[in-house]
Amino acid sequence: MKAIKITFIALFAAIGFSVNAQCDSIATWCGHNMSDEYISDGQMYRALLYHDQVAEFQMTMFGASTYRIAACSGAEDGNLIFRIFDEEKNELFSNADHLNAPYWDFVVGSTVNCTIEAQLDHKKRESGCAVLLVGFKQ
Amino acid sequence: MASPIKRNFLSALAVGTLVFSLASCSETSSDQDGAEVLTDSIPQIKENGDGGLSGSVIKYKGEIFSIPSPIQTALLIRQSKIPYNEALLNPSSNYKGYVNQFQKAMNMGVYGADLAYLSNFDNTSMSIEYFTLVERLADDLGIKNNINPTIISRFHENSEIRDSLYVLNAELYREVNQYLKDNERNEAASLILAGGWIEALHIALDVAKSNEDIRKRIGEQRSALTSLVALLSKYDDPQVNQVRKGLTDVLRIFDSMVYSYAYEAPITDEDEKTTYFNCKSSVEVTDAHVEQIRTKLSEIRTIIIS
Repeated sequence: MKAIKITFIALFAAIGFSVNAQCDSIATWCGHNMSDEYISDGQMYRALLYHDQVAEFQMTMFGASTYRIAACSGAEDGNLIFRIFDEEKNELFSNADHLNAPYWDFVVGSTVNCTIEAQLDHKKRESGCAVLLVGFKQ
Repeated sequence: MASPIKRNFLSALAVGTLVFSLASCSETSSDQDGAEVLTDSIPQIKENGDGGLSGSVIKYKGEIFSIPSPIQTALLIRQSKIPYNEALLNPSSNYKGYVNQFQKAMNMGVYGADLAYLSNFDNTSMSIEYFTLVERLADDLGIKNNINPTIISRFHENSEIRDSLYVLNAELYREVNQYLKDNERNEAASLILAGGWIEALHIALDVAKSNEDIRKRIGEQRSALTSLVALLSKYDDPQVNQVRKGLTDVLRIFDSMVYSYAYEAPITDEDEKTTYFNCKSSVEVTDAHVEQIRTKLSEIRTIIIS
């Protein structure tokens, strides 16, 4: 039993390491879309997605600010669809309307509480680590 | 007792079953178990979607949280041109009293927010002192060796360039956030975020006395505070519980503010890859709100920095 336990632990650790390494390399790739004029919000938003799964998170976009959101999955642009909704579920943006653009800028006049959803474009990618980076302008 | 051959067979069978299960997970839509197997630091499926994109919605153990960066608050304070006030900072001498993970992680967030505030002023020696405290706490938490060393060297090389300090501070905290999540140390990651948010609010409350923009920005933190309370509720630790209960009281004060929101269609400039959000929102923050939050937050901050 001990041998099985050790094997399982080793396998889980190896898989965990592999997934984290995949997410890390995607995050590094994604960072290329965050130019120097944008300051990171200090967090990384990531999820392991399959097929039509959707990852979502809440975010306040403050008024009189400019944000950049970069969205990546895999080592090429355009695999990830992200959408932004306001607190009344009105869609404010979808990069699917812009050829799955890997990044987009948002000029926010008045503070808005948003829900951001991310989903793989299943025509391009069936599963993988989805990474979103958020930056704001100085 | 099983013979060595039988044990090896059982091991091989278990591994084979697991590998087959994982392979199946990646090829079918029945992926909830797969997500759980892969790693605890990756978001897991919690519920079905109820709008927006079609498909099942996954959230990080219930939510993926976005907590506003203390640097963003510091930048707003910079615009207000309010003079530097050293009394707002957590004194560097407190560092030696931080012995457990709660204190080290929370105060790593606190000192990071102080560093962001210090970056608004040309005070190189203080900035280096506070960056060193952040470095030390990262070391104490076993994180420092996993931070890209160029961030640390760039900080020391550029400590007189204000804008670089904001960028490097943010990069450092993103690396820390990533490392802690990779290593399933979500509690430490959450405490750092909480400490940073609390300290940024503490500084903003002082400035709010004379600045309407800051006062409004404080009122706009309700959603972030809601996320923060939910985030801390995942951890069963007496000190964390104390902070969470205090923040729940602060949230009640936010709930007594008057908020309004009106949707207006955004405008997109395709060439510039830019969308302009035109929604209108407002919040009324009275002197009484500011004072009530200050009193409650001061109690919470004392728990953290003492």
